[in-house]
Amino acid sequence: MRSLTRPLLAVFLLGSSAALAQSHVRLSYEFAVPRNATQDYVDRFSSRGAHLDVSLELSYAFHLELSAGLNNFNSVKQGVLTTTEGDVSGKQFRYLNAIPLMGGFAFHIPLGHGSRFWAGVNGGAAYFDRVVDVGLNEYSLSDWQWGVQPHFGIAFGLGDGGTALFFDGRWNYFWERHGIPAQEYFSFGVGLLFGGSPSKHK
Amino acid sequence: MGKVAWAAMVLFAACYPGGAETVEDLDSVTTQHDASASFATLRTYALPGTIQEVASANGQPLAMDHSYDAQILARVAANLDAIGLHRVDPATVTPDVDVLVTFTATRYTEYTSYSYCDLWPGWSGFDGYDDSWGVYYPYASTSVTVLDAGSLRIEMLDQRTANTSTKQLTAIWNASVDGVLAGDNESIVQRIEKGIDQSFAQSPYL
Repeated sequence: MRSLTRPLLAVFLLGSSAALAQSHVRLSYEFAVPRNATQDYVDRFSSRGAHLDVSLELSYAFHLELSAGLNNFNSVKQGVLTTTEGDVSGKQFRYLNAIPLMGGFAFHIPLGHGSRFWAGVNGGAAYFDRVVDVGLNEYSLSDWQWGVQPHFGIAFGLGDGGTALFFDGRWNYFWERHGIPAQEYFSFGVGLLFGGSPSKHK
Repeated sequence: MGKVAWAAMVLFAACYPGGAETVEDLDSVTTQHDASASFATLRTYALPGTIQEVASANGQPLAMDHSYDAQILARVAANLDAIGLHRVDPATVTPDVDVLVTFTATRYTEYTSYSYCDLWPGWSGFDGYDDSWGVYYPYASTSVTVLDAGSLRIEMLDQRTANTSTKQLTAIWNASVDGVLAGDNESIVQRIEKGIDQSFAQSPYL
């Protein structure tokens, strides 16, 4: 326990010595790596994703996070697909569109000069649109799934205007629902943080 | 900053993955079966010597080249033999199942028209015109998408459970080998044969 307390205390002191973080908006371009059942369905690395996060400071360093994103996965597989219309074989062009809508809390540690580090957890749901094209037919299975989204990031101030370049990472996990297996993927973003100008101390 | 956002959006949109790249990519085989049927007790089958043409309810029916009937039927028979069934002459022996093979070839045509005012909203070239205006073509021309598709269907009708009161034979198994009719006949027949093999391969209960 002592080993954990000291680093936390150090981070707190570092944060208190820096400028106060403020509410801001983050817009990022995302890559994603599917895991487990999601990887079984679409095994390709996704280079098509985006996230919009609104971070509202509730008290010093403690933020309410509202998050919306989109991650597109795709894959090509040969095999037999079991559908309500029978067993269908052929080259399967698989698509998975994940649209997570989350909310949660995060601690933001100001690092000075518009830079910051943050970590938090979001909860909510995501709409998963699963589409398989086989031959001239298309099969789809879509639904909302509840999940969690722990995340962290680091931003580097680009000047006094409050804009910063940031990098973040998320673990996205959504529980099984209505027979659709649990979905899991890691996503990594690079983007711009707007409106995070340091407050002036009075 | 806005330019960066737009560039990211364009990059994002440009990466949408493609689908089928060859005609073979659009080939598919669908099989269905009666889960309550007793496939293990099947011993004999009868197979007609021709493939019947069936017109699709939609689209324009296309004629079939019957010069490949024997080759296709031989492939079906070979697969039936491979699962342990024996071909019999229905004129002398009542088979356990009748295996029927049909083919449907259809041309699907889709005509596309545009609402030009919606495509160029606010363009000064359309000043004085509103959505109630259209474009008149004094010749038979428009954007047309044409697709020729074919389906070879194999059905297995159970003679053992023929219901004389309702006069029904139960189709305990069927397979549909579907694809786009493109390329020469030889290549199409090769794809059909591959599909026939696949239909049996994905039906391990037979």
